[in-house]
This record gives sequence, structure tokens and C-alpha cells, in this order.
Amino acid sequence: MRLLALGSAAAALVAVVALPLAWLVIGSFRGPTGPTLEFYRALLTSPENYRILLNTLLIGAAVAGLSALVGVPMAWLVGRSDMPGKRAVWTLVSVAYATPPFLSAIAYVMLLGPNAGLINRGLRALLGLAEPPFNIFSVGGMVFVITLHVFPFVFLLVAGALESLDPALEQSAQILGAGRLRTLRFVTLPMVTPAILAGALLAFVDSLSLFGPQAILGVPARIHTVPTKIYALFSYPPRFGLASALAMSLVVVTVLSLYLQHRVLGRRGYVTMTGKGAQPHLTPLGAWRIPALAACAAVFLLAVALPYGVLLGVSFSQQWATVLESRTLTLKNYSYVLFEFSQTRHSILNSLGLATAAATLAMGVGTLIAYLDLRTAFVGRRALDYLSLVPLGLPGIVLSVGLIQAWIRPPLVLYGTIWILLVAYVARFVPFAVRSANTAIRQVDPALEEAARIAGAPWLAAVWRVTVPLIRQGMLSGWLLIFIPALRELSASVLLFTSGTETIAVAIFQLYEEGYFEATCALAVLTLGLTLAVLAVARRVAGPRVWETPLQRAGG
Amino acid sequence: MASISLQGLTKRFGPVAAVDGVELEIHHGEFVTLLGPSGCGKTTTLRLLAGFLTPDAGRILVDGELYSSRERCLPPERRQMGMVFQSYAVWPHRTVFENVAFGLQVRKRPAVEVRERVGAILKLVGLQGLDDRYAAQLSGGQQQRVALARSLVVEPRILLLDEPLSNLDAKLRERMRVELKQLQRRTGITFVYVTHDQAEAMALSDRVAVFRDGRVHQYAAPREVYERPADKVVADFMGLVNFLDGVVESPGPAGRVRVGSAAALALDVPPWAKAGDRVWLAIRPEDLYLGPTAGPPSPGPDLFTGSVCERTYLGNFIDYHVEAAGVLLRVQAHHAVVFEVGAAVSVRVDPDRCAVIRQE
Repeated sequence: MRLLALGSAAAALVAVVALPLAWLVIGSFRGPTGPTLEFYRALLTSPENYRILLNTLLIGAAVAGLSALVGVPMAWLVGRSDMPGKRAVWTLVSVAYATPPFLSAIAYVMLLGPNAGLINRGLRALLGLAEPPFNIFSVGGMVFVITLHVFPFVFLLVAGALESLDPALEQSAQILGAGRLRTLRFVTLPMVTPAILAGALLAFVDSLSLFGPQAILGVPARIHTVPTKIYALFSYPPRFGLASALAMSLVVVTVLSLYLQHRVLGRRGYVTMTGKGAQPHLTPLGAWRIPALAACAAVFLLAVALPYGVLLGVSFSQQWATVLESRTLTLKNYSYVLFEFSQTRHSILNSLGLATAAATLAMGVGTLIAYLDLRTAFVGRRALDYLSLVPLGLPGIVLSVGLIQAWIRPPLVLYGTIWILLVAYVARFVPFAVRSANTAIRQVDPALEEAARIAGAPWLAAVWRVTVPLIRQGMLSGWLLIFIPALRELSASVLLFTSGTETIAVAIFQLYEEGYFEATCALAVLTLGLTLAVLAVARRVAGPRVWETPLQRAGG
Repeated sequence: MASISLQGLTKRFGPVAAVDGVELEIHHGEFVTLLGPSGCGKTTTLRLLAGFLTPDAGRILVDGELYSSRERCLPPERRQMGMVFQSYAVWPHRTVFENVAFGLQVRKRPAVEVRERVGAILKLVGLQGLDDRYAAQLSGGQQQRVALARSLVVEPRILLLDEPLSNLDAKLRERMRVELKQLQRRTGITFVYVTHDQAEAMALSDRVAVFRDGRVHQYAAPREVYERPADKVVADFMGLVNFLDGVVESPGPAGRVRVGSAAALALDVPPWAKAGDRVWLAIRPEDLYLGPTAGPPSPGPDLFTGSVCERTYLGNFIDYHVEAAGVLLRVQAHHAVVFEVGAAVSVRVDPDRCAVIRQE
């Protein structure tokens, strides 16, 4: 029984993660007549491909730096100052991460588009400028929008490090006569440096994979990135070889970064875990409270208020460009996406079904893998645990390139059905599931289950009656935290969908590409509403710091 | 009631043998303690007994029936044993009643019988009236009793206890010690008890197995383990002890062992020691007696002279460090026996209280 349950989880993991990865490697060497290095040569010698790779890395690096600039001071304000409204900052961070980045990108197109962007038009009228002051279709625009989504990585890791930092370490510097700034520079900052680096690396890795903002903001300006190039290579006829080689380049970069991140955090000696319970000394900000709060409010404005506001406003408008002047509201956009246009209607049902199934399956497999790792002496349990983390290094579009090649041929053709999307989602989110379950299981004393065994309960009964009820909350919050990103998954879906299996994100992307901004916004608002509702439930279950477990431990 | 036989029991973790060829015979209704420092293999042995681990070599027999071997390992739930964990492992999502009733429900006893037996056992451990409480609402001592009740209610043939008292405060620990002993006498269940506390082991057990590095160094009644330690490891672990370097002058029951140049002690030399062998004489600090250098009793073969290096007043006795016979001796003297630091003293050894130990 035990072997069967755990073995099937292991098999499922191999099928959804190892198989596409293997096909990705095979595909990158597979020429029309036999094994070839041609695709790698094309990758390394063509100036165009070279440039694409450079663009991608450049954007990632800039995003990582900007994320640290936003995330570190914010984490310090929350952890070590007397700034009011700390709970609100936690809410802001969790909403910022939950917001689909391609929706922020669409919102900023409407705000900062060079010609019609609302802010650009407003500023030009106000200041009498000849040229629009901002152009969102640029590298800077991509960095800006992506940072709004990924800075929570830095914030969460640094906030966690500050929390576990024994305040006595800082106080010993103070008692020796060091001022606050000096203590900050001499003790606090060096102690949280690994967390800053690790957070920035995670932000870097995540930014590489965000197909949505790159496609929406980069492609119109002819700035290609690896994900958008892969997408272009799949327009008919699909060029598997070059796409696979490009995907491999992204895999190498992300795997290296995650390894680095693991190394940085691995030196745990830095962060002393003894400080729990002791109260850190909070720096009084005095007159600086106002600017500090204002800075946090500005992040809120940029990451949440402006994009949500414009999406909401346009969703009720007749014509998006005149949303500010118009006096009449309309529901026709909602009625269009919900009732008239069948493609959007079934995309909502597809996404709800896929997110539910993916969260459930991933959580099931993830829990068994975590159990296998923590509670058994099963040979290869470490390897399985590592394998379950591999998708963190696989951007959605990369995973899709492998999945298509794995499931496009008989005996089992999943490509073209909704099942390949399910496989992709389970693979993408199984790392979150394993981390959530791992954290939950760790908090349960193994003796609790053993006590049931020795009292006469067979393994399955002991797990079911003792361990499962005790980790139920952790599993539920893990489930919700998978459901949220699965609901709006774009970068894997965009290659895998076919007519009839569109998801919400694909439908939004298509509506946007065709220029139906009003309908796009209506569907976006529905997605955001659903996301925020699930997030609210998750915050109820797991507390206000919902993303901490999946994100903080993402690389650990 | 059951007898247990461990035969050549071995368990390896990687290259390390946590349990290394352990042989133990435990009789019906006996209270046996596995004693040793952390990492000595005592807990691993207990977990092998419970069936949570499969041995790499050797066997475990219960009443002559094979329970564990490399090839065959009866799962824990079919061993009819009870176990009390160091952390108590009281299920936090279940009430006291539900915790205790679990084993009976697994055995599909009728509800009436479950209620009756749980009530009776809760009374036995002094928890009546707390049926509906959750673990978080209980003190450490009460959780301990829940764990005990839970493992006793199914009337196990063997009860395994893994340092059950180590998380209690000193006073409660002493009381639970007495209660455990009485409980064992009353139920007649075979108890296998793991601890690193030698005082606890001596107070509770019929026999003590002293573990070190995965091996049993001595398996005997508490008194014998304390007074006749089999080797230096056991002597050392069972409390403060002085080791005197000696040479056997004449072997046999009325033999003599020379210590230093001054004294030759007349004592029972074990049969393995031959004339000329070097041995350790192990003697407890409370078996050494201090006196003034001059005056009776007159210097004799069992008397050393020395000087006081250090004195610590501990209330019921005084702890002296005395340099004599070329070594530093620890002496625990009655609190009325007072010498200043630096004073010359005589140290008398009672030869009957010396244990002769092989020098390796």
C-alpha cells in the first residue's frame, strides 16, 4: 500500500518533469537526418540570437537590481522601524505578487503608451510637451512592469532574514557605542546580504520566464527575448530544433542562478535562528515616517492602484481612449465576454477546471514526495526531491517546448487536448506543492504517526487519521497558492492551447492582440476579482504572509 | 507479559553501526532499562523493538516468535506493544478521550467497552474528568499520563518507553518515577525503558543494560552495575569514580593489589587477573575516608597520605580533591569532616568497595 502510493507519486513526477526535460535535450540535438549540433551553432553564431539572449539577461539583471532597491528598504521599514501600516505593506506585497504580470503590462500600455497612453496624453496637455514623456514599449518599460511583479521575492526573503536575526547581535553593537547607521552597516546589512542576493536571484530567474510582459511590451518595439523568440519559432511551420536549443540556453541560465541562490542561502551560519521571540529594537523614524510611508504608498500606486484602476475603468467604458472624458458607463463588455463570445466563456471554464485539477494533483503528488523525503528511508528520495524542484528552473514556455515534443507522437497523443495543459500546470507548480507540504510535514512530530502505528493502526490509517489532519491547513494553503497562478497561467499555455482549449490568459492575450481593449479589460477584471477572492481565502487560511512558504523556500 | 530475546542485533546507518551485535534476554514482567549517553544506540534498539526499523543483522524474538530479522519484520501495528515517546506524541487534534480510545477503535471494540476501558485507564493514571480536553490545554505531566494511558489501554504485552520523563521538571519526574514503578508491578507488563539518566535507571529497573557505541557493556541488576562495573566505560557512566592504577601481587579470592609504592590492598581479585597484571581499581568518592595524618587508625596497607587541593561545600556532603598516591582523588566526606585546603590528610580505602577492572 505504502509502496504503491509513494511509487505512483514518484512515477507521476518523472512523467511530468523528467520526460519533457529529456525531450527538450533530445530535440535540441535532433536534425532532420540525425544528431546535429547545428541548432547550437545557429544559437551561438547568429548575431540576432546572440542579441536576444543578451536582451533577456539584461532585462533580468536590471529587474533584479531594481527589485532589491524596492524590496530591501521596504523589508527594513517593516522589520526594524516604527513605520505605521505594516499590515498594509504585507497586503500590498501579496497582492502585487498575485497580480498577473501580463495584466499589469496591458494596463501600462493604456497608461504609458507613447501615443494614446492616458498619462502621456495628460502630461503632454498639462506641460505642453511636443513628445510623449514615457514610452512603455521599451526595455525600461519591461523592467518597470516586471519589477512590480517580482520585487516581493526580495522583500519576503529579507523580511524573513531580519525576523530570524537575533536582535542581541545588533544590540551588542549598540551597547559598544555604535550608532544606528553604523549598526545597520556593520551588523544588520551584512547579516541579511545572503537573503538580498537570494531574493534578487529569484527575481532574476522569474523575470526571464515572464512571457506576457515581454510579448506585450517588447515585441511591438522589435525587442525580442528568448521566450518571445521561442513563441515566434512555433508559428507554422514549427522549428523544434532551434526552439529547443534556445530553451536550453534559458534552462542553463536559470539552473545556474538557482544553484547560486542555493549556495548563497546554504551558508546558513549567516542567519542565526535563535532570535525568535526576542523583540528587536525598532528604529524611531520621527519626521521620516511620512516619506517612508509615502514611498510605500507610491509602490502601491504603481503596482496596484494604477493598473487596477485603469483596467476597471476601461472595462466599463465604450471606448478605452476616452475613458476619462466619458460620462457613461456600460456593462456591454462584460456581457460580451461572459455571454456573447463563446471563446472567452469556455476559456473561463477551462481555466477554472484546469486550476482546480492542477492544484489538487500537484498537491497530492507534492505531499507524497515530501512525505517520501522526510519520513522514509526510500533510496532515491533525495533525487525525487531535487527533481520536484527542477521546474523552478524551467520557464513555462521552455517546459512547453519539451512537452509538445514528448506528447505529440503516438502511442499517447496529448498535444491538442486539454490534458497537455494539465500536465504542464502540474509540472510547473509541483515545486510549490512540495515546498508547502514539506513545511507542513516538518512541523508534525514523526512520533505522532508512530504512536498510531504502535497503537495498532496500519500505515495508511495512521497517515489518514493523524498526519493528514495535522497538515491539512498547510495543504489547503498550498492548494490555494497553486490555484492562483494556475488560473492565469500564460507562458506555458500560449504554446499548448489549441482551438477549444483556450485558457483565460490565452483569451485575454488574443483579445488584446486583436485590439479589443475594452473586452480585454472586462475579462481582466473578472480574473483579478477571482484572484483576489482566492487570495483573501488563502490569507484567511495561512495568515497575511501567504507567499512566504512557497517563495522563500522556492530555491531552498 | 512477554519475554524478549535480542540476538546479535545490528543496525547500520551508512558506515556507522548504531547498534552493533546486541544480545539481551528480557524476562516476563521484567523492568529493563537501556542506559547510555546520547548516540549510544539505546533509542535505535528501542525502535528496532517497536518495528520502526528493520535490523541489518540479528533477530528479535518475543516469546520465542520471530518479530524482526533482516528478511522479515512484523509491522509495528501487529506487535501488541505500547510505546511512550519522549515528546509524548499526544495527537493535538484529538481530545484526551479520543487519544486514549484510538487503539481500541482500531481493534474495533464496541463503543460501550471503549468508554468503559478508557474511563478505567484514565482513572488509573489520575486523569478522570479531563476526557474532553485537547493536548494544548494539558500540562507536561498530564500529557505524559495521556501517553501512558493511551499505550496501556490496549493491554500491551510489552511497553516501550523512550526517555518519558526527560521533559518533566525535577519534582514531577521523581513522582512519575514512583508511579511508573508501581504501575509496572501492578500490571505485570514487560517494560523496556530508555534513558540517559543513571539515577533514573537505578531507581526503576530490575536490570540495566549499559550501552556505549552500539554495544552492551554490562547487563545486570542496578546494584551490581554500580558496585561491580564490568569495565571503565560502565564505571565512568554510573557516576563519579576514582581509578587507581594497580598491579596484581597475588591473584585469587584472597589476593593483593599494589597501588603506588605505599599500599597493597587485600581484596577479591577476579579470576581473569594474573600476578603482575596491571589493573584499575575503581572506587566511588563516597567510599573513601579522610582522616588526620597523625593518630589512629595507624598507617596501614590501605592508607595513603596526601594533601587537600580543593574543597567544595555541597550541604549534605563536602567534595574534596585530594592529591594522594600520585593521583588526584575525589572524596565525598560527611559534612562534619572538615579540612582546610593545603592540609595534610590520610585517605583510607575500603578494599571491599573496590572493583577490579581490566586495563586495556
